[in-house]
Amino acid sequence: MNIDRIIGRFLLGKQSQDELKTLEQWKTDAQENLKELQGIQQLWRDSQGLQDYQDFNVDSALAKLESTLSNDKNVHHTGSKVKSLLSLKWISGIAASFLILFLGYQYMVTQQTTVVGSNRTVHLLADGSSIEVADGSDLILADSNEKVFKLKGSAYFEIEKQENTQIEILTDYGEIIVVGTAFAVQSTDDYTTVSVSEGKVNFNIANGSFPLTAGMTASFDGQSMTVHTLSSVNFKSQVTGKLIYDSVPLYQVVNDLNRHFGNKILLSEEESNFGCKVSSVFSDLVLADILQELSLTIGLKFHKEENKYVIDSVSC
Amino acid sequence: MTHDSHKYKSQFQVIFKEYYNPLCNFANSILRDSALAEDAIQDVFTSFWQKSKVDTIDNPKAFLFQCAKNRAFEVLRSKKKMSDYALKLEREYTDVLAIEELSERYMLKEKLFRKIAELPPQCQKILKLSKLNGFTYKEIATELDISVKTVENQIGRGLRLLRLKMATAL
Repeated sequence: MNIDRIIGRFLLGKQSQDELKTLEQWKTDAQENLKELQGIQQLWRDSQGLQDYQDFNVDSALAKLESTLSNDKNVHHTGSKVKSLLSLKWISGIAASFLILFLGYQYMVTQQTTVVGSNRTVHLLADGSSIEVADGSDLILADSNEKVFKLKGSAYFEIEKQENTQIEILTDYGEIIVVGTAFAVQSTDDYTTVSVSEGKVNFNIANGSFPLTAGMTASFDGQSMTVHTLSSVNFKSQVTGKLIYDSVPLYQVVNDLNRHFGNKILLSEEESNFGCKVSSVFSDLVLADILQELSLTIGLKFHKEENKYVIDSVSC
Repeated sequence: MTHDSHKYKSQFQVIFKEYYNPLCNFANSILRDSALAEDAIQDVFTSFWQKSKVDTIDNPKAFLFQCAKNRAFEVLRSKKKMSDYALKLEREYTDVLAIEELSERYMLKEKLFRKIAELPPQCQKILKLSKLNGFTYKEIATELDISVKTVENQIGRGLRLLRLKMATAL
């Protein structure tokens, strides 16, 4: 029985009597099957309206808009020059007041924790380096020179290389020392993972230092350190929510999912047995849904043991 | 928050990136000209930046779709292209369908469109030909040089995968 094909024919009303019987049986086999078929029929109807739907270039449109607004701003500034001069006296008076407030604020800032980025914001450093902070994460400034940060959650760092300057990121399970590179850090209550896209960083833990180069991902849970070499395509996934696989062997996909979700998948057979390749994009999906998708595309069979998923077999 | 602050700009960018494509498609459904539709939506966002405050609008989606609708019909009027069809559409969009419903419809289309693009290559190609280009199964089979049986199989599988992806997205 090929239920995929029967569904494909059923949607056009071209199913035979035998196929209809099979489909009815499949629907009654499990409540979930009935819900799945209803969901598919709804999708089929919803997608009728997609004809002529286009993919407009958002990035170039945004660049065009920014250019328009920037020109507009320049024109506006020239026009308001005279007016600005007239209000100079007022401004100098107000500025003095603000200076007092600012000094007071600076004093307060040094006395408390400063969160410089959270929930998908990009924090820019003076040297052009950037830090993209993932949803539900906090990047906290740990020194006034913006050289030391504490991270709770996940962030992607693109640090400009500068002589005699290094950035430090502090996590519960170690610190990451950076000179100039691009890398991701995931800092949770249970572990810290560092994944390097470009350049080199040192992952320092209590009993040693681990130099990591491009393509390496290392995870430390306070007891053991695991290091893998992977394609770095998805190293920004904590920030973007996207995992992209283009003809990637399953065992590498599993390692990458373990990097992203924090070692939640166990391989119960030898890695070499899994010769299947995966081509798909997963956006903001939970691990159970990704494994469910893989069961449809490559016949992956798995079960759950406590809080981990165990892969039993594949049939591609 | 001022327009110049980094936080304000990144908030504006998030809104732009989320709504630009569905808004262009919505405007294109009125204007039937993708270049004009893009210009109209540029105008909408320029005005949104200049006259509004991103952080004070409760429902930017409804607001932007309302502006897009108004702008698209303004363009048609200025070009003296207000056909009977466009007049009927304007009445329908004003009287029958609330802007909230219209915007939901286009956001759903956007999600479907994005999620189809995330499917494995073969499923994706076949579903696009079926849903975006309106091909029959036989036409898809001829176009891709595969059997109708394979098309039926991939449509069923593609929709099962799409349902999983949409369940998380919605």
